[in-house]
Amino acid sequence: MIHSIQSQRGVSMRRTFVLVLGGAIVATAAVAQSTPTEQAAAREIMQQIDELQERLKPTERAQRMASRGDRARDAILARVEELWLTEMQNLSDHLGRNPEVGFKEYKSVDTLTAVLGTFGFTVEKEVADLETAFVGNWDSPAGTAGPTLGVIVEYDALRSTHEPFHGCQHNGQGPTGFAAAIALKEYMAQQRLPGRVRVYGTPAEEMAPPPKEIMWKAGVFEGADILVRSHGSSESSRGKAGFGVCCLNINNVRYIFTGRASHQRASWFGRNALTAAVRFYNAVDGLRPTFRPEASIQGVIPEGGVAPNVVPDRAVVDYYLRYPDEVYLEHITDMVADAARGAALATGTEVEIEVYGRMRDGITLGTLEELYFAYAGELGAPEINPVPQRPAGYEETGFVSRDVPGVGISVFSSPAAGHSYARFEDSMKPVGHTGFLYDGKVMAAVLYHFLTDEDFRGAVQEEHRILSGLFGDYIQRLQDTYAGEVGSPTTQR
Amino acid sequence: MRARTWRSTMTRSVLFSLVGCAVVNVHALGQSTPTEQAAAREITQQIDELQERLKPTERAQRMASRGDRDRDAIFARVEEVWLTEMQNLSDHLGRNPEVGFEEYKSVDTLTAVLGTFGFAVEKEVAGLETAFVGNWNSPAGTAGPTLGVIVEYDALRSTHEPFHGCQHNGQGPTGFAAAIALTEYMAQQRLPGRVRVYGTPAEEVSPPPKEIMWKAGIFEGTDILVRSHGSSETSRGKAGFGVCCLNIDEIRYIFAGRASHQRASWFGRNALTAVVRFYSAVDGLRPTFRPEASIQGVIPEGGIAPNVVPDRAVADYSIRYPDEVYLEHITKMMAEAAQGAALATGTEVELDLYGRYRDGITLGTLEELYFAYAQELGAPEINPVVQRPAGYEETGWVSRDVPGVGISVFSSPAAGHSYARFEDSMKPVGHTGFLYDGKVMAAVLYHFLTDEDFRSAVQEEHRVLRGLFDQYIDRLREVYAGEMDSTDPGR
Repeated sequence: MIHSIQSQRGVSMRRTFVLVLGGAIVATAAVAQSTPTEQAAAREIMQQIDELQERLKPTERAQRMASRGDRARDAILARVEELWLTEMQNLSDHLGRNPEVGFKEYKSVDTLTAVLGTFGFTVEKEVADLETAFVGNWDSPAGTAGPTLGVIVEYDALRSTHEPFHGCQHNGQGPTGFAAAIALKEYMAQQRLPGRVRVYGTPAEEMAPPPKEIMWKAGVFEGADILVRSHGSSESSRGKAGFGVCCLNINNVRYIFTGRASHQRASWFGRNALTAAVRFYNAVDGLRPTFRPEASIQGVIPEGGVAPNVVPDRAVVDYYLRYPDEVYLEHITDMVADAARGAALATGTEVEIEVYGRMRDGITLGTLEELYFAYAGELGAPEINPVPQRPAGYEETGFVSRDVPGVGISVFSSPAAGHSYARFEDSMKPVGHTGFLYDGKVMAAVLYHFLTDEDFRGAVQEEHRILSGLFGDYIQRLQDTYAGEVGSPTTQR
Repeated sequence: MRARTWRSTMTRSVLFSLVGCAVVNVHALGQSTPTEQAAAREITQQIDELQERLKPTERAQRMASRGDRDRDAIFARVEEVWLTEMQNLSDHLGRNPEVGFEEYKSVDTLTAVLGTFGFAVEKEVAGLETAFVGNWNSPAGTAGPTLGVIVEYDALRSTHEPFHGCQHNGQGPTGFAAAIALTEYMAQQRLPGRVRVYGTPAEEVSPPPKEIMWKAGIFEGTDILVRSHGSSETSRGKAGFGVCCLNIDEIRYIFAGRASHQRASWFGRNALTAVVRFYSAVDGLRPTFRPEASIQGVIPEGGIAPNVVPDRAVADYSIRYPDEVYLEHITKMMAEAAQGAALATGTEVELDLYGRYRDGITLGTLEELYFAYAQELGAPEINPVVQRPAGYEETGWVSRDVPGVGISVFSSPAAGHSYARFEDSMKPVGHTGFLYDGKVMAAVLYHFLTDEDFRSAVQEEHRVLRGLFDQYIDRLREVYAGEMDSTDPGR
């Protein structure tokens, strides 16, 4: 929900006021760097990104590729349409009618993997120790010396106060990605082109801990040369080349305080873990002015004792720490951790700190974004927004897009508010069906060019390599800039 | 759990029972703080003078030791009912434990048995699903005394399965044996009156059902109440006022704010921050309260998703003080702390006082009669030292209104709330103890029914003690006047 790559682009937030806020951010900054510090650190790097784009000319190249005649490509797009209309559209509606929330998409995964198996993919389930994650692999009969083309699909529904529902349209993602993946592997088999096609089933996009970080850590995405992913959207737009993330860099951290239980009337034998948690929560509130104003820190106490006549021996505080850049975020995280340790020390308890999720700047490539956008225009996708949006990678955690070049494709599929019931309903109507089919065709076109056009592939890989290097420089620059204010008070001033 | 901590070892672990013992040794009176003792000094003297006049020990020993064929026939019938039916029923309940407020099958079984013995059973009394009252009217009319028996049947929660580590499985069958023997005797002798069995659920869980039933008027019209309980010794209480584990207010502080996404938190009002401020404010108040206060809270609801500003958070406190007057003062200051925390965070707070435990009234006439019969019948593990008064039920409210006595003959040497104590409830040591309980309860009810002189002594003692209790409370209010009101007018 919050991590959706669509949030900064469109309307997948929960309430109108959040939406208005999102719009404000989009309007003020087409680059991801939003604080003066970030902008100062990134100034030269931004120039280098602009120069790179000037040299690669991704827009012109993409328009040339999309507008020229290409029978092989047209045959692939026709096959995508055939697959969508004969099988995948029904599959999308079926998943829509059987929503399952994140980490519990058991039936959805059973259905999706069964379908993938019938098309010749070898499916591995429960990858990275996630029950509802899977990878489908297809090796070309011509050998695997060619590129490995990856498609990311999601399938979790939204939690709600009533029943779960597909208000983020993830029901369409698997079928859309399957149509593109299947058309590609059939083309490769027919043409005897070496390589692989892989479908990555990533659960629980709406929840933490973020499964894509877990899968990335487990090396699940290693060996993929390109990754594409689709997502429903309220407009057809593309991102600017650069680094960024939807909703600030985030650390999800759990602080688990352990004390000693005792009866209320012998409380002096106990050590109160809840008191430690409360001291910690207050200490964090007290630290707020010590942090730069762009910080966003919000916590809950999901476990604060059960029976009032027993001194709690366990209490848990769960925080989402956010900051526009990851360097200062680490500083915040260190100081908050010290606050937790201080609270434990002051109450005779112990604390264990668990960083269970991280969201980071991702890398957005002009070569791939512009190719997507040129095809969307060429094929006649609706609701085209010509303004390039802030870069945010193509998946919500940032880690995967730092390693593997890729693009998120999101053609208009509903005018309704993000995470609304109306948006789910649109996924079952022509507006959604049409949008998903466009997504599938554009994904197939991007993969086709990456597979067959060595010059284009070289440009994509060069752009990713250079942006990765520039991102490293940017982080280094931020570390230099913040040096005077992070770290311990005696050593750093 | 609460009712008898001071008397035996029914607390949860060794360290708690050590604390419990310390409390017992220091005070044979209910009054434990210097303030209470000062306020109660004259009143305690008046209680002693009343006991001197009523001579409950001598009277009781006389009653228990003299020959009485009717009474002996009642004993024989209690034993017969116990051995033929009730012991099996006790074991059956022991093998099918159900925790408080969920004793559905236990209540079905108990009420079915009670019905077969001629009691008209009303279920779900006082809006509690597993509370019941069984009533029997004498064929000779209802102009005589109404004799009441309280029975419990909830098992203990545990990290594994529930179990009857407090031996409540024995209470229903024991009480039934006494109640049935009395109805049969009254019918036979054509004595007017009623016998009532009160099925009170969830003794181990809050909110306290006996307070709820008392508020609903369930115990009205009863002239005497007896209740049994398993114990690790056979002992009785001193006449006076007191409560097991301090006077208690159980309060939930429910803060309501406004939800908002983390990245638009300025639209929200954070209910968790309000709760945390409140919890900290209570910690800050601790030195403002007299040292005997015991205040312990938890935060059972403190938000769920860290990316949403919590619109609801709950603090749940158990507030205890040796007397109810100062307890009210603590409760009032804590309510203001909660309101202040709400005001300071732009939230709202609602207070739910969901449970209260208060000093109960213990009568020398009844305690001594129980004790004399326990000795006369040869009950084991007799402790001659009189214990602190604590009423006969854990909330205090019922014993203020109705004279009564709690009977607890030795039924297990094991620690309170232990699995060994449950196992003993199914063995001769438990069976024998429960049968003693049943006989003593029947004897107490028999004398109250038939001995008008004794009955009026009991009623007089209760009336006088209740009046003294009111004086004691007034005295406490005077003593605390200077420190309890708002900063200005009280001084």
